Amino acid sequence: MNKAKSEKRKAKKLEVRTKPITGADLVVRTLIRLGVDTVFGYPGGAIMPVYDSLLDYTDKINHILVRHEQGAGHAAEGYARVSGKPGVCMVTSGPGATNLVTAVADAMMDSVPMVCLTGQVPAQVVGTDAFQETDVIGVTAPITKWNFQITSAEEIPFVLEKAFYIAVSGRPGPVVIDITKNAQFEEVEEDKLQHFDPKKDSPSYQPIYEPNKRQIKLAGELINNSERPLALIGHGVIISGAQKEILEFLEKANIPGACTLHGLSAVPVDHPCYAGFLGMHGNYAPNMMTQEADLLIALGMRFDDRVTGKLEKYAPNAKVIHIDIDPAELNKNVKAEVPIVADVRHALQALLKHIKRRERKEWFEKMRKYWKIEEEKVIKSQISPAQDSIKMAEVVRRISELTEGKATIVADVGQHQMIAARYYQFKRFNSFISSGGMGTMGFGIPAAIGAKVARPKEEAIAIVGDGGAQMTIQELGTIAQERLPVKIVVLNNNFLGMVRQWQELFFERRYSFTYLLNPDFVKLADSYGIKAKRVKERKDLDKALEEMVKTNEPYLLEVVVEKEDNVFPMVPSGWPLDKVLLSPEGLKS
Amino acid sequence: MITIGIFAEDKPGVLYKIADIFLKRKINIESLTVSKTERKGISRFTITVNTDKETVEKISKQLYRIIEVVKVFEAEDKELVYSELAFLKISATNPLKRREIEDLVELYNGKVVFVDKDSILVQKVGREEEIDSMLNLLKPYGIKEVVRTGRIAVLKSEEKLKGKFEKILPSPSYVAKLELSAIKALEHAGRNIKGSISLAQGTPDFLTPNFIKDSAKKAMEKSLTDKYTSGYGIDELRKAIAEKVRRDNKIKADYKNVMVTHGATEALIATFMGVFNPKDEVIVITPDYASHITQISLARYGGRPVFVSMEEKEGEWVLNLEKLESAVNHKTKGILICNPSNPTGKVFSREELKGIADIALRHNLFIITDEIYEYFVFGGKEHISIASFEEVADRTISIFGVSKAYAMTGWRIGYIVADERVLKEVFKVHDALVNCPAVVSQYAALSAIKSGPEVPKKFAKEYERRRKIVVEELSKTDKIVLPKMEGAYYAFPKIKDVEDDYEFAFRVLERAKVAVVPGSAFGKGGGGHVRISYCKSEEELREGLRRLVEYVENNRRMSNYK
Repeated sequence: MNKAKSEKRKAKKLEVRTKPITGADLVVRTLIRLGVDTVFGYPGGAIMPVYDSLLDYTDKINHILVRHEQGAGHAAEGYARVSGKPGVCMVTSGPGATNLVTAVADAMMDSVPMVCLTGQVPAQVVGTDAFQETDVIGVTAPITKWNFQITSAEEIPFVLEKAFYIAVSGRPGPVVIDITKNAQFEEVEEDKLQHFDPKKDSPSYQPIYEPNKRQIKLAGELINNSERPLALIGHGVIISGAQKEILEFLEKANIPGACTLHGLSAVPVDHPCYAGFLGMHGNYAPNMMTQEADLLIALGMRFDDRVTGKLEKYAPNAKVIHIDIDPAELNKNVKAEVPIVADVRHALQALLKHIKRRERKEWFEKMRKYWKIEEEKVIKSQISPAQDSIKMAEVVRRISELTEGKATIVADVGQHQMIAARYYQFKRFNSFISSGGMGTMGFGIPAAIGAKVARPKEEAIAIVGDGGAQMTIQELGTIAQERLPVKIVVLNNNFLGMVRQWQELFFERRYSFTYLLNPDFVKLADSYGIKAKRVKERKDLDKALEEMVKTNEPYLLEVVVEKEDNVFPMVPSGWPLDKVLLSPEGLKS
Repeated sequence: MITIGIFAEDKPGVLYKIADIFLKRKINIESLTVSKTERKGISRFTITVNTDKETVEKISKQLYRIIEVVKVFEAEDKELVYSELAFLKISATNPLKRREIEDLVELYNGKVVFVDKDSILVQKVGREEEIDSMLNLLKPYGIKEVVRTGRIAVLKSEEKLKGKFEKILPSPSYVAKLELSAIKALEHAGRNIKGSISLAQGTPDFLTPNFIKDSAKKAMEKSLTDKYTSGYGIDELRKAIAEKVRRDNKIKADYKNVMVTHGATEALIATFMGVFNPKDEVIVITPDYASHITQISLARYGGRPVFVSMEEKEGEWVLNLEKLESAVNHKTKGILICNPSNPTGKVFSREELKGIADIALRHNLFIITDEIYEYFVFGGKEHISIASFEEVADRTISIFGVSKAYAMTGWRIGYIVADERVLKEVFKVHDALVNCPAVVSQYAALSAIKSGPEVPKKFAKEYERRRKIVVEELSKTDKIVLPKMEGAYYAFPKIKDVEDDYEFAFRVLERAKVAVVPGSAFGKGGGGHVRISYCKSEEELREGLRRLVEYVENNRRMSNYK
């Protein structure tokens, strides 16, 4: 918080130049004025003028050099998820920009505010297949909230201000701004340029934050009259910062609330109203309760197929109240009796006035009953396994205990991601970062970099699989160069775990190209000058984890885990939620 | 078939993003049209698809995710009025086949627009069903080419367009809400707004000189004014006019070439109705006196106006003779010029007039002039009557009046100078319209015309002074392009950054309390301009101009939508 304030002070002190300045200079100055303190990037020909200008402002804006543009994108995502501010990345034209595409698509799917500046060949040669020229605008149009190509320096302040406005407002998302090289060289007079005013210059885009009063009243009535309501807590709750409101709501109305992948950590795991993790690999209780509920209160979530299972059989007995800031989500997958377009926090504040407490003893009993079943059938054997081989779950649980559930956990994609979501005991609001909608492998390490930069005082632990780690392993270089005390836990099973699980369960154990020959991760980290250790036996686990947590330096811990471990419970794709499998035996019946 | 209407900001890349939404769901777009709308900066897409309502609803919501999209509506055929245009090229190898095809086309209200040695190009406007039916019937003849624009559609009810959409953008045109025409509304508004100054009306504040009034009184006393006179006017007046045009306009005329009318206004209408047929085209050089346009078109039998606009370069209006000639076709029968021009204040040069005369000769056209401001020319310019060129004298109908020259707007006397044979035709209408011009006014006009050009020259000196004031005041801002004011008593400046001059004129009246006439009222080329009349008293003129300049300076960002 204090850092943000001092940043703002620094920004305001940027006096307006009286002599003409270059477009490149103007880009940097505009970023500073907009409150940007960090840019993740990788230089190249088409963006060189801006890079040159960066050197004049190192006291006001920090640049972190990555090793692959995808890393810059994911780092910007991690930064944005943790801080709520838009992540900013800067790359060159052609391959620089195309390397960013995956991260941009990821940000779009997960509603992450991000502004990506891509260099571009000079405007005069655009369209001639010039060196390192790509139609970035065409390529990123479907995966951005907005994009624009700046071809003259005088457009810079207006366009960048508009870009930031669009990225953070309404449903956040990525914006790509392509800057042609001639615009970077052009000279302009700073005080003569036009600025963006959201009220006057954006008539077509007017997000709605305040809910409709009538709809809120209707929602309140439904809630008060329901016997088996379930709140579905999504990313929207975290984005809108409804830390206080969500707890007030659950407590006042006395309703259980379950979280989607991105909603995790909105409610502390030990809260009496917390029902668990929803979806394909979620906890048993929330999925069963969804099918028995008479009312679902969807808060900033979009009924993704990972959460709903077979849509036709989803929540057969429930009416739905759907609150989301994006009207396109309402009645997209699930029909809502009471759709409400609003920012979740504003909606909850309004809703609280209409809520009355109602005793729902039986409903909560059911919830506890389902938890017990899961404890017995799944959780126990995962966190206190009988065999020698280390299970991923016990590693995560141990990390959770050592960090008191308060670290920022950044997961990559795969089995370990589901395990991290299930077994880390989140106590702190907005402490779980992962790639959900796109499920981008390689997200973990660079996103953890971004998270650490955004909140340097908090522990950032990346929990990655051996597959995902290798997709962006080059970012160890970034960690080394910046000396960022990021902790990386590689859960190594020499397999593309999640795919292998599906091959085991649905393809008669035909492991088609899922076995991975891995490098020696410890030696690899070592070659970067990063402290690293390998754990192969349970007896060494605790000590190694403690050491990792205590260190205030970058650290990589490789844990060799059980090769053919499966994540349960599981709702196979296209199955109804209540047919959730608690073990592979369930499949045979 | 479901029609989706999308209003979006007119920016590059929007079509791409919209098309992608359909591509994602693999929905084939049956037809797509896009064009400008009544709102500046907003485009309208009309897309037809063959899919179910639910899918279309989902698509609509996703369309709103595109930042530039302002409004989306979906509708079924029954909620719309829709149409499209098709070109059909049909094989027609002999005249009999051609006859059959053309008969069919006639049946469907289509039009044959082009014929070559073995095919006919048919144009049909109508609903898809109609075009399809016609196509079907023409199939046996052999269809060579079909090009269709795709549907455009308008909702029958405005319900679907209501709501947030209206509040987001300013209304398309201020004028749409008015009950009267803009100019009249402006005048009315001016009267209702206390303390407003009008620089709008072109009525000078001079009074008719006493000697003229005395002549009228004497005529009345002598009972000369009690009965009808000849429709052509009293002989003395015709003779005096003939002398005047010989002296001041260098036109070789005698009294038989003169017809006195009820103001130049009646002269014009009688001329159009007497000389042209309804389907004849009359070229009007714009910007031009708004009433000319009304006179030609309202008169129904007065021909159809075709507008050729002059070009403005740094406040000076130039007539492009090539452009003028290219507007002439086999239906053109005449060219109308107002010289000196209202509203531009332009005085046509000898070269320009020779050019017009040349075109009229080569294409066998009439020339009609409105020279009501003949005595008011400044800056060393000379007023030339085109009828003074002998080669076109017989085809030129020159119209003059005493209203402005002698401050006799209330007396209603004008006159036509033309070839006798032409006058005969005009007389048929004139006679039916007025019988004869008001006799008391004829006697007044007689004394005015007999007195020579001293009176108008005196007025001209006054206008010269006021003209200087206009230059002085308007020079105080760079937002108003200083116009060349060569003649009449009008300044027609362009206001920088103003696209909708109607809206501007109303706002200026409302906020700065000064009335000017929006340039669009004067036809093509007038947009973005306003007409200021400097026939007002010096005080009013100065104050009015000062208010205008102040308003323009204080409201630098004036476009109503950016």
